Amino acid sequence: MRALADIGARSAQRFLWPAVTVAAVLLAVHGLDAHKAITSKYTYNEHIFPILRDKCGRCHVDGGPAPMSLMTYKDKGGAVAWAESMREMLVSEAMPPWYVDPTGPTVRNSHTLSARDLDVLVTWASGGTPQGDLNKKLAAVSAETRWTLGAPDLALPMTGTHTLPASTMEETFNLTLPTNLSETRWVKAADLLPGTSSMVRRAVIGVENGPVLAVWEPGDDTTPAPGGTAFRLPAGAKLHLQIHYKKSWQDEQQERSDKSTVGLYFTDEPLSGKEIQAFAVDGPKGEAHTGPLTFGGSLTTGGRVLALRTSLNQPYASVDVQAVTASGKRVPLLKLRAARPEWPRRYWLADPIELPAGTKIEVTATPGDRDSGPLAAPANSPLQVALDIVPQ
Amino acid sequence: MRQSLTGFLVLLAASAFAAPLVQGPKQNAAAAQQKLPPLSYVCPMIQDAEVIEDKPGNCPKCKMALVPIRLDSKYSCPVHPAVIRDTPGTCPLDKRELVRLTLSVFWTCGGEPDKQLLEPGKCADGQPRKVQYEPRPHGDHNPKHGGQFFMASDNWHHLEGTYPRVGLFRMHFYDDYTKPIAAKGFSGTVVVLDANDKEVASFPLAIARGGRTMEGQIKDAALPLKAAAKVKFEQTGPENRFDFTFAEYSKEPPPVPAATTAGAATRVPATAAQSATPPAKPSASAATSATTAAPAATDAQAPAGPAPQAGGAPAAPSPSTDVSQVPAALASALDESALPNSVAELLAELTRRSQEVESLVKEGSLGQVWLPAMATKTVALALDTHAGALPERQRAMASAAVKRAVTAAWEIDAYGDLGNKQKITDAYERLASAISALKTIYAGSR
Repeated sequence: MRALADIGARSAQRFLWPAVTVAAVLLAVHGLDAHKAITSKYTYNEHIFPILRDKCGRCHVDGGPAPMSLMTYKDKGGAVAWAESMREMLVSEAMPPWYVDPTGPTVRNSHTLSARDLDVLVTWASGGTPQGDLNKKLAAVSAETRWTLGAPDLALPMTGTHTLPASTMEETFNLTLPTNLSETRWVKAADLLPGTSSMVRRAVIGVENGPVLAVWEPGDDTTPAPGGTAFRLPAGAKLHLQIHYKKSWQDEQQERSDKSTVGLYFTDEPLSGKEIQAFAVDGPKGEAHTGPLTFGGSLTTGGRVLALRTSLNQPYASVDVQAVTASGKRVPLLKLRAARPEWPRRYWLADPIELPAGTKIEVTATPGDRDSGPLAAPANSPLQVALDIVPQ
Repeated sequence: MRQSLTGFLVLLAASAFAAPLVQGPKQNAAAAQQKLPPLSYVCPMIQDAEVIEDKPGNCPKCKMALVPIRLDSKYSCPVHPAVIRDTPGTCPLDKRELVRLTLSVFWTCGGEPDKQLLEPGKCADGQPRKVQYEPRPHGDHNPKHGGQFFMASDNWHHLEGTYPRVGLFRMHFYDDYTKPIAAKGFSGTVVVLDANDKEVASFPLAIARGGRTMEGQIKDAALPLKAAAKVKFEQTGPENRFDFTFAEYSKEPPPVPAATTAGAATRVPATAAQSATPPAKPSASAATSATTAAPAATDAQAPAGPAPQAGGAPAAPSPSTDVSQVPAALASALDESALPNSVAELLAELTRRSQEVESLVKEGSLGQVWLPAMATKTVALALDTHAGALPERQRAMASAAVKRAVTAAWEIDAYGDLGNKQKITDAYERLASAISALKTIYAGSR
C-alpha cells in the first residue's frame, strides 16, 4: 500500500503537472457520494424535510430572511451544505431562536423544537446526511413575505428606500413615520413587511415618546395584545421605526436596498380607558458580566402584566424575572435559558399576572459562554427587561 | 511514488487557484480555467479516505477502482463549512477565525447536482458550470500507534498521544486525512495530573528526531498515568488541551496486512482490528458540500464525460443512493424497541446508562464515551413518550429535561472527538442534572 507517510520525500514536481493530462478528459464522478458512511436511519426526503419545512422554513428558504436555505437537499445551497452548522446550532440550542424555558410561565406563540425532532435532525446532520428515496418528489417551498394577521388597518411605508453600500455589512437605521391621524386610535398589533427580506434582520416599532408597539423578528407570527387591551396612539402621533439591517454573507461587497412597510391593527378603546404602559428595569452597564447578577425596581402603580420584553447585552445561560410582593410572595414572570442577544423579543404571557403597587421586580441573569457564541452579537445592545402593564 | 498531502496543500495555499465562491461566476470561471488543482485518485470507500494516489488504479485496501478528484486547500467557517474563502480571515456569519479545510473541487450543471464534473466550462444550455466544493471526509479516528486519538478544535489537526515506556510521552500528529504531518512550529507542554485531575508536574514537549512527533520526558510517572497535553500549532495560535489516560504502556500494533481490511463486504468502519480499543466512531462529519453564489443554471443535459479510467467505473447511484451502515454497537445503543415499557424501569435504565458515561469520563476514556451517551439519550427519548400521562405543568418540565439530556448527549458525542476532559465533564454534568430533574418530576407524579 502506498500510504502518504513521508513528508520529506515530496518533490514539487507533481505540481508542474502537464496541462495535457488535466485537459485530457472530462470526468464525471459518480459513486463517491454513494459510499458515504451513513449512520443515520433518518433521510432528508422522509424525515428531515418535513421538520425543516414546518419549523425552519419561514426563514431558511431560498430568498428568505436567513442566508442558508434548508428547503432543498443540495440545490441552491441546500441542507447538506449546512448540516454541520445545523448540528452546532441545534446542540447549543442557539436555533431555533426561542429561548423561553418551559419550566417558567407559559408564553403565547412559542415555536420550539421537540426533543425528538431535534434528535432526528442532529442524527441526520452528523450521520452522513442521506437523501433517501430519490423518487419521492418533495413539494417546493418558496419564500413568502406577507402580513401574518392579514392586511393591516393602516399601512405606513418608509418614506424612501434605505441603501446599504457595498462596503457596509450591517447598520441600525432610525426613522420617523408620521401617521397623519386626526383622532386617537387604539392599536392591538403592529407588524413589519420587509421590502428586502434578506437584509431586514430585526425592527422595533414604537410611538414617538410613547410605548413600544412591536419588537419584530423575521419568521414570527405577530401576536396581538389580549382582547380588551391596547396601545394608545394619539392624534397626529409619529411612529419611531428602528430597523437593524444585515446583509447576507453572499451579498458582501454588493449594494442592497430596502423599503419596508409598517402595518397597524386597530381595535376599540378599552372599557377602562387605560392604555398599555411600559415599566423597564435596566441591568448594570459597562463591561461584560461573568458571574450571576441581580437587578430590579419597584412598581409605583399596580396593574396587570401582559408581556415582557428583553434586551440582552451578551449570551445568558438563564434569565429569571420574578415579582416579589410586599408580603414576600414570589411570582415568576418569565424564564429564559440559553438566551442570545441577537433575538430581543416581546413575550406575551399566556396568562396575564396582576401585581399590586410596590411590587418589586427582580431579574437574575446568569451569563453564558461568550466564546462559544455561534451567532454574531449585535453591538450596543443594553441589558434591560421591560414589563407591558395595564395599570389598575 | 509517495505523496505528501501537506506539502501539496501548502503549495496550493500559496498559489491562488479558483476564486472564492462568493466573488461571482465570472471571476470564478475565469480564474478556474487558468489553473486547476491536479487530479488525484482516491478510494471510493470513505473508510479508505487516506488512500490518495496520483495515478489511476485500484485501491490497495478495498481493491475498488480509484476515482479521480481535484483537491484544493481553502478556508472555511469552523461551524459553517458551506462558507468557503481563498484566504484566512473571519467568518462572515459569526466572526470566528476561518479554519483551513481540504476540499474536493468540482463543477455541476443545474438540475444535476449529483453529476460532479472535474472541469469548468459550459453546460449544454450555454450556462457556465457552477463550481462546488465538498470537504473531504475526515480520515478514520483510529489510533495508529496504540495510543489515544483526538481531533483539535480547528477540525484540521489530529493527534495521538502514546505512553510507550516509563517516562516517555509521545505525540503523533496528523492532518484531516489522518496523514502524518510534521510538528514543525508546534510547541507545548505535557502536564501530569493526579487522581483529581489536579496538575502536579509540567514538562516541555520537544520535537523529536524525524520531526513528526513531539516528546516529553515525564519524571516519576507510574501507571496508570493521567496527563494533559497543551499544544499550540502556531506560535500565536490558541492553546489546545488534550486529556489522556494510560492504564498501560502503549503498544505499537502489528502491521495490518491489506487483506484483512480489503473487500467491499467489510464496510463497517475499521474498528478494533488494529487496537484493543472499543469500536471507533464512524466518521462522516465532513460529508458536506458547498455551493457557489453563482446563479444556478437551468436544467440541461450536461455533457456526460467518459467514465473514469480503466479498472471499472464506480456504479452510478441507485435510486436510493444511501445505504445506512450503522455499526452494530451504535444500532444497539439507539434501539428503543428493546427498552422496558414502564416509567420506573426506564428511569432505572437511564441511570444505569448515564453511569456508564460517568465512569468512562472519570477514567478518561474520552474516545469511547460517545457510545453510552447515545444509549442514554435513547432512553430519555423513550421516556418522553410517557410525558403525556403527566399533568400539563410537569409534562412541559419533563419534556424540557429530555431535551436537555438529548443536547447534552450530543455535546458529549462532539467533545469526545476533541479530547477535552473539562468540556466533556461539563456536558456530563448537564446530562446528569437533566436526568435528576426527570427523576424528580416523574417521582412527584406517582
